[in-house]
Amino acid sequence: MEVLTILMMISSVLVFGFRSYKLSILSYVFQAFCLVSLFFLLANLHGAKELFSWAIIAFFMKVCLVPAIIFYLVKKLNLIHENEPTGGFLVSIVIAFGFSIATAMVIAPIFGEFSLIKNETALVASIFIFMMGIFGFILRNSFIKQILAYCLFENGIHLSLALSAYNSHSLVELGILTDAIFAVIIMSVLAYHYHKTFGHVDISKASNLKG
Amino acid sequence: MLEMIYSAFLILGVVSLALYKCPKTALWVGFGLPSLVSLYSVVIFITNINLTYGFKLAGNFIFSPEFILTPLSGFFSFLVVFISFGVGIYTIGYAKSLKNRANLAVFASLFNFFILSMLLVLSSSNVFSFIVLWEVMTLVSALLLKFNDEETSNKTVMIYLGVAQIGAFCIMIALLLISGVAGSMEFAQWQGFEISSGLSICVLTLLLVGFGSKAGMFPFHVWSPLAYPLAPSNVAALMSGVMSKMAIFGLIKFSLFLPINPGFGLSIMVLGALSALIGISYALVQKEYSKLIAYSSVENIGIILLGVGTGFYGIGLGEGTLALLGFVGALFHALNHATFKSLLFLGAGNIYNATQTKEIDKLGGLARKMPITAILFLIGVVSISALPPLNGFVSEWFIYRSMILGGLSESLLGRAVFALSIVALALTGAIVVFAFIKLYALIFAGVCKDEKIYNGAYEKSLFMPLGMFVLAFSCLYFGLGANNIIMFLGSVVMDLIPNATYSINIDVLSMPIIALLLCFLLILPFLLFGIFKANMSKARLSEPWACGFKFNSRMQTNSNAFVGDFKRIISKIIKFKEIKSQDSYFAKMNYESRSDDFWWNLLYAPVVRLNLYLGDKIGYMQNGKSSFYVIYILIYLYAMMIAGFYFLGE
Repeated sequence: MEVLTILMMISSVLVFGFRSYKLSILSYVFQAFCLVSLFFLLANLHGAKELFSWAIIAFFMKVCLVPAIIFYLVKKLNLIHENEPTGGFLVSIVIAFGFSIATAMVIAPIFGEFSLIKNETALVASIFIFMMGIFGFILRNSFIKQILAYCLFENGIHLSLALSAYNSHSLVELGILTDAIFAVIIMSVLAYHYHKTFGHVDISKASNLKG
Repeated sequence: MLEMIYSAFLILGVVSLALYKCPKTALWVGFGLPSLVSLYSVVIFITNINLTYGFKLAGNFIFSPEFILTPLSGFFSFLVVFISFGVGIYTIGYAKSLKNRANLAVFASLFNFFILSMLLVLSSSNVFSFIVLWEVMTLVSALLLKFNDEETSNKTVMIYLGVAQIGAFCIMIALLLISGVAGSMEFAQWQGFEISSGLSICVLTLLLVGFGSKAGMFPFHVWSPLAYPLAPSNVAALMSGVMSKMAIFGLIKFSLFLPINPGFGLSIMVLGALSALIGISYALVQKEYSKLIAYSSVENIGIILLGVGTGFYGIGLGEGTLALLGFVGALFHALNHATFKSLLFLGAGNIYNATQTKEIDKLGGLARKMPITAILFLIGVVSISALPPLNGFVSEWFIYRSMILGGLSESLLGRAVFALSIVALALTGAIVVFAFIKLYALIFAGVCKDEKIYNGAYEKSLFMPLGMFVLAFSCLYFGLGANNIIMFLGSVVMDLIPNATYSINIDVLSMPIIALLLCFLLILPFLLFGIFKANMSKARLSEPWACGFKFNSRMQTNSNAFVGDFKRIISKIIKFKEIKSQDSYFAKMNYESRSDDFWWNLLYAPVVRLNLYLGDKIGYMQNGKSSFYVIYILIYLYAMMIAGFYFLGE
């Protein structure tokens, strides 16, 4: 289990760090796969039947559908490499990693008090992935990278929910599991139109809505 | 019963919206049928006036709201449906003039929802539904305001919404404070709670500001002279006639939950007296008839507040009779104001429809072209001027009487306030007559000033005078049958003040006898002429003698000249701006005199400026870069986390 969580953490850094969209998406697939296997593992270890269904839904959603959509988008827009993020490629990773791990270490004990499965590593990982997603939003300028960052913190939330409250209401469950797909579809459409209008996917150049 | 009425309005609203494609049918469905429903519900509300009844919405979706009508809200519900009956009939004819401005189906649907929202506000039984429905009412009325799409309409609607929001904010805080002390959100359980006198004064002030903003009480009246003339006249009739009464209802209802000291009554009276005087002074100097009527709403709200203040003073002193008289006067004047103000607004709509101008100075002699409107308008004018035997007189008489009774109280401050209020009301009464003579005489009497407008004027539709007739007839009935109405209102007020009794004989005033007397006096000169056979020669019809010049319609008094002396007297209080402009040297000189409502600059303009300034400063944060927005979210998250750790962790 520790292995899986640490793999997830590494893959999140990879998603964040890779210049090439293709590799980035692949590492996302890898992370999602880790998440699904983690669900299976937790379901076996703690006898939580809900987590089986979670795992199956997550497999179809996160491992198959979401990456497929983003792949399709990248192909259609004919993009290979990301443009320069805020603070450069190297520095941005260091900033994101540092802040994320610090936040995760601080919050994990608080989370631990509420959660059903008290596994410190997994909790730290879940918060770390979430924070990586947030920093992806802040530091990356590319639209595609931001979609991926969104998926990252979806994964983080998902993991922390599985750890802390897998017995929650079925409506909540369904919402958490399926909202990612809708969000990704909408954002992909937006990205496509953005690219069509401006010819690039660099959102730092879009400041028409300035107050 | 109640649920049937409510669902009828709801269904009619939805159906008329569904008839989006065929506005002509929607006109009948959306205005004709509600009139019938209103007529039916008038009967229901009157027959059940002494009962407390209601219904509970089924299901447990978050919470199931309950709607309860007490006698007080029953009376105001009666007011709503009664005025909507007349307005609904009128609108069938009137809506055709709005055809090019908006879709009539939407208009009809909003009209129904507006009535429904007001009815629901009256019967809501807890804080949550009251606030929500109050906001719905405001929003629907703002949408209705937008139907007259003029240049200034956006700004006016925003001003209206802004003032209403400030008011709603005050109301909400006040209600939440009460429910915090009482430990329940249900109005029915607000009984016998202990509240400190400081908090009670605070809540009462908030209620006064909140409901005063909605009612158009001085100094929160700035929106009403802007909004009422902008609205289509049927909406203006409903807003001024009925919606402002919702505020009176709220003020009475919620203040009675609290321990009331006489000072509260006195402060309401002071504000009422000021509203009355200032409102009518502004009304008199207006040059647009709809603005004149709108300012007169401020005045009438002031008169109603005088009654309400007297009632509260009576409650504060524990004098049942005084409270009874005050509240009966206030409710009666609310009913009367709703009737004749709606009548006048509808008449104004009729005039505008026929002439397409709002300037009094361009109109004249319309009585010959639109005789029915003229007569019905005259009834409204006589009622609002509080001339016997019509209804305005009776209710003002009641308010006078209650104030004279209140003036006999022991406290010196009370005596002073009551005496001054009586003087203010008397002065107001005089100026009202002045203002409405100006309004009627310059529009309907005299000769035409603009041939083109005069020739184009005629009664456009029979439904419009019919709707007005309903209201005009009620003006007559409320005057002549005042005793019935007072017994009716007495039972409503008795429910509010349990320890009051009919200790005085209320029907000392016999309206039919007064009416007969007046009619007799009116006929008397002619009778005398007949008996003595004097002055029987036929009247000669010729043009007026104009000192040797040929008579010209411009020689007539215009609205500015009519009030010239008054303007000179009052110029210390109301500032007039004289604007002279000339296009070229040989062109005619243009004179324009404007009276700006300087309360706006005093009270609201600083707030608006502060907001704009703050908005400007905050605008720096909105720099258009999405990553910054995420940083804000992150900072907020951290802040909440830290706050949660410190405050909840322990």
